Amino acid sequence: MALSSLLSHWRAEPTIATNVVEWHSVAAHQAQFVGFPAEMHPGLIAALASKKISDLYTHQSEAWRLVNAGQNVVIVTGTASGKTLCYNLPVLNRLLHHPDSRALYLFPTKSLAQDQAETLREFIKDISLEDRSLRESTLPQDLQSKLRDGLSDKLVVSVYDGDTPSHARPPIRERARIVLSNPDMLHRGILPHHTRWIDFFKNLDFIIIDELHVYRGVFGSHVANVIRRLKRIAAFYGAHPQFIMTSATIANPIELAERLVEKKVRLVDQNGSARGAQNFLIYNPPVVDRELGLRRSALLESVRLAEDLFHYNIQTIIFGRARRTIEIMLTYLKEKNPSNEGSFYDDTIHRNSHFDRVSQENDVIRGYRSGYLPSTRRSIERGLQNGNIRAVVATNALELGIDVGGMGAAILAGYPGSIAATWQQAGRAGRGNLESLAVLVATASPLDQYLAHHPEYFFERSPEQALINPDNLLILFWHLRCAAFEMPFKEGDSFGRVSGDELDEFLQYLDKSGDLHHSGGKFFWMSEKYPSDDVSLRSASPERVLLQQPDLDSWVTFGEVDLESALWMVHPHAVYLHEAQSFLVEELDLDNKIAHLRPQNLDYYTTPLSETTVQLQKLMAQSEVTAAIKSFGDIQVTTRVKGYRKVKWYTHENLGQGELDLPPSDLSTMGYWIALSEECVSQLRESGLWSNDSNRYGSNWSIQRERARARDGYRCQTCGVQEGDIMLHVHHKTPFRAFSTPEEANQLSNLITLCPTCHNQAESAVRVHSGLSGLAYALGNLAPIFLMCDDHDLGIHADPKSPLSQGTPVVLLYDRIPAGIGFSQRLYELHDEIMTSTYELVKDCECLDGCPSCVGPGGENGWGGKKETLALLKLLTGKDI
Amino acid sequence: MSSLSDKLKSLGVRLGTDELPPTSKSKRYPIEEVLDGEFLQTPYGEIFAVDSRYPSEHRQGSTLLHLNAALDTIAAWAKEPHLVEIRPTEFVFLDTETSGLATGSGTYAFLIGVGRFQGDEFRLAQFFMRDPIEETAQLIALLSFLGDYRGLVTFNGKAFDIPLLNTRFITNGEQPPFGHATHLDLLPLARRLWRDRLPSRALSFLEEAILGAKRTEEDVPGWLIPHLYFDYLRDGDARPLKNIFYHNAMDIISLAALLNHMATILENPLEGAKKHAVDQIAIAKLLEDLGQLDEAARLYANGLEHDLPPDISSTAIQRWSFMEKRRENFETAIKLWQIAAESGEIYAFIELAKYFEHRQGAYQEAILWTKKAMDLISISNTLRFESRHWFPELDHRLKRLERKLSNSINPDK
Repeated sequence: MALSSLLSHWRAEPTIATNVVEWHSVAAHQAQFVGFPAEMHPGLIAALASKKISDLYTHQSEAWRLVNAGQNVVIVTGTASGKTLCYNLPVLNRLLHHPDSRALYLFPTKSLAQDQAETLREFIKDISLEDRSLRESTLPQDLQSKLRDGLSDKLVVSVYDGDTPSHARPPIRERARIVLSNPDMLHRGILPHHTRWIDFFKNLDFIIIDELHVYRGVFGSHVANVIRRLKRIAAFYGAHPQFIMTSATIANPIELAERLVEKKVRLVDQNGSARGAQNFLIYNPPVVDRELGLRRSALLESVRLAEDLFHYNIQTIIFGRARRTIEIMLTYLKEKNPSNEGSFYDDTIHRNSHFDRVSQENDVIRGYRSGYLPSTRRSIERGLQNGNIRAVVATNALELGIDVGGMGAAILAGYPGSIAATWQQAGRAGRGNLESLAVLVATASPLDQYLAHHPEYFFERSPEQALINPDNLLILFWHLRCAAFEMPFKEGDSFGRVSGDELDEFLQYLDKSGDLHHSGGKFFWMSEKYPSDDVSLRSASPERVLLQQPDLDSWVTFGEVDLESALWMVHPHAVYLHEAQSFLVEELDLDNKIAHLRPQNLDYYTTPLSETTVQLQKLMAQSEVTAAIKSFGDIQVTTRVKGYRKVKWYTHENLGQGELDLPPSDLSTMGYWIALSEECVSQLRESGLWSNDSNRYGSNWSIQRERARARDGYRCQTCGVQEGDIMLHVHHKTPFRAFSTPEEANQLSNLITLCPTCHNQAESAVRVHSGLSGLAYALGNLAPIFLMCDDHDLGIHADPKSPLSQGTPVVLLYDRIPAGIGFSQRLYELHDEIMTSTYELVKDCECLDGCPSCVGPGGENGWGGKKETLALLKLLTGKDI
Repeated sequence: MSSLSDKLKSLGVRLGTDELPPTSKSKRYPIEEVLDGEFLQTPYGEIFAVDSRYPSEHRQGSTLLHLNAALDTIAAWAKEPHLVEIRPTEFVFLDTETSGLATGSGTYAFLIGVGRFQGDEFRLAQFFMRDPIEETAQLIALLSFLGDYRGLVTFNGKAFDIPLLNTRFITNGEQPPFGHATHLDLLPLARRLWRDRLPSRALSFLEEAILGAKRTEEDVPGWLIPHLYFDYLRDGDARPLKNIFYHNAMDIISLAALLNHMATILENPLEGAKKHAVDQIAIAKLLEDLGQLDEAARLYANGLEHDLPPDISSTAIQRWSFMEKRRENFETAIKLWQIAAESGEIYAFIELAKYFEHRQGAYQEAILWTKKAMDLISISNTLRFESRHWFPELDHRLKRLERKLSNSINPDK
């Protein structure tokens, strides 16, 4: 067998075997079947029979039982385990038995809805609404099928989303029994117009939420409120629909489901489907530069593995994290396999050329990502199903639910950001009972490296908690306006878990601000505004800055960032990356919320230099932990971007910096912070592992300083400014801490006279990394493994004299979302576990003194602070230093 | 502990709280002191209504309200054959004043105006909710006014007023009363009739330009209406609402007059639209589309006798000529093509060439017209686009004609 010979080849090949840090085999799993339930509609039985299905998997049968008992259910079983049938069967059964009954299916993307609509139509084309007469009928075959054709179109399945043409909408609203849509359309296009959907809402029996785990963080918090609105409208028409959800494996599916739909939810997670043996490999590219902590490129290594698979004729899917990376891998893979006829380039570039399209169609190596034409995507999906395409390089556009059949192998070029997504992508490999292979190729990022050293996270209980906070003040507020537009609130009403009293406070506020009119015990929407236009489900704050680039003689918008991020992402002179193109920001106009950028090829990127101050608003919880006090509460973070630094790509060389005059931005949010205990700090200090003290420069300092100033003629040696009212500074060229005695450090040859501005610049170039900031860096990078958030959802801040704790050293992590989404609270709860993991991350890193994979890169003089960070983490986890 | 309003402010919420005028504690001016109306009792409470009557000889500007013409053409245009069976007294003219232009369930019709012919009078009723809690009563009052009506006349009601009222009925748990009626929306017909002559088809504009009416100072611009109502809800001063009632009343009266005017000119366009040749052409096109070809031809002819803007006259000639070609009235068609050819319309040369080639077998004549067209294109350098468009076709035609001609001269070849 091709796969087993490839695997023995890899085992024997040292340049591969030594890099495989984990070789995990999951044994084959036999299918567990149960017969069809007695109450199953004969039409369904016939439809299943035509698909050669004569039994249900145990989890499908369990879902059936719970749904028919009126329960809300969340189904968490692996990829390709027949999850779709778990909801389609009970829903169709109800729809077949009750001709008025309706169902709403929600998918996170339009393409998933389209895909599922096709699958459903294909399934029900064999269902006849006329049941028993047909089942027992002895009618001739052709007459039976005629009967079916005439009847099956009564069970209308329709997609209703932003792409649905307006003339097609009224018949869908009236006739569709199953409507497939997305939360954004529900929010903006359906709920505000609920009166056009009377029959639909009156008879709404089921709401299906597929890919539940996607609804987390800000998006999930919005969607939870859309569901509150949906339930409210359904209740007005007398309907109380049941929820059926499916999710990838996460740590808290029930919690997430119950917070999202605010009903009791039952879990189905015993997978009864068949599965061949699976090999799951973690491949860590070899270190090529220990000093800088550099490893071989994960992309090139992925291509190398994919080549082997290609030569062994194993159908393979290669997942990349971004459009850019998949294009690079696709190009390499095609170059190395000239037998693959056709163009090396991406389809979309030449899509107008008929010739190229034809040659593309014959390619056995293809790319797949958003931005491809739907017809191209369909043809690739078909090619994968029928085996003509042997390798596909894809983004996660192929991860979600699109049916392409099982591949022989999956290569993940980089950790896809969550364990759930890792399993979804790995699950693309495996067809029926055949053995399969999935390889995760780690990049240099801290999370990838942490997981490469701790593969147990993939095989034990998932640590990933999907968090939402439907009661986030801001998100709730915007949705209450939408709800008030849809239907007046009555005094004493509640909104989901939001109690009558809390709701009343909002309503009174909206009455005063002029959106609502309070009278007769009701609150009426009295404004010309259409409030759902003010809310985007995909972001916390509705204010956006438009990114524009020149096009002939005008500026055209090509993207947007939220207002708060604009200050540090698109400040003047910033380098902004958009789809692998670098842009230089020319102007940021905060009044009109527009940034002008120009595409430019630059060999550097910029990092903002900002000053952050933190204020405590309200302490919510506090408790003593090993060597520190942990706290959680409402804080206000004021950030002012004061300048930026230019950093050369790859070498991280400092190319200089600039100053900026930008207004400060305030973020009211929730934070979790660790205040180090006095003993902890003094223990570190005694061991020489505390670098946050101001230096005591020794007894000869004042003499040496004066001598240096006199030598330099009381002029700044960089800009030449003469000393005036304020004394010039004297700077240690090699940092003071690098010497064992003050006398050595204070030699005249190591001293130079500088003005305060130049001194400041010189200091930041030699930025000495302290243990405190090393800890902040490592924590910020590792936290997403517990929170399923993106790293930009969290802010980090280290302060040796923090106002949060009466001036003691603090590391702070905060939700970078107005009013917070719950990340900080969860970190507070998981403190011990996170400290242990962070300790392991730093301890296990192969670098010498700090690298991007652990405590962050050191300054130019190589002061990474790894030693200090490690010592601090030892104390925080109760170890000796 | 900060208040909700402070918290929201710190999160960047700006809803303009500061801009709102403080609720006036001073004297309130209830609607019944501002307008001469009465409170109707309904099972859901009382509702304020203003009932006005206009004698049947009342004119809006120069136009009589009362429907004096047959609706056959309008019925054909609207594809509503039942329209002709509806008696004038069975029509209801409806217009709403709303809290906004957004469709969706958060927009309210705080004033619903309806007019109807009763006996010798035109009766206008306006149902006003002093507060949204009176909405059910308002809708019930509207129901009883509608009674056994059969036809509904609105201006843009298909897109706006009726869907909005449907929503109002549904959210109040009532069955909407519009399903069975024949709904005639005059806006699309107005577009059809006056697109070429008038710069705007807004009702207030038509009122002046078509009906010859002029509103008094009392009127308010439409965009201000929601704000006047919001202000009233806050301060209880109904005085500015008087202007909204006036605005609404004018809209409904104009609606009735407009229907009468439209029906009149469509019943006898030669007479009814005699002042405006452009209108005659518009009606000619309409009738042509409805298949009333003789009538359309008469109107085209009549309209073209008058001074018309060049673009209108040339499209009229073109449409009319093709209409005659379709019904094989080549005598007229040829005349029209000759006129069009004189003004350099290439299509006319081609049509003439086609006619002589296919109908007459007169290849020489056909070649002549084809060459004329080609000459015309080659001498005029302003028509580059047209020449690119026409030239290949003409060239192809010329070659075919020459071949046919030579075959007809030497049939043995």
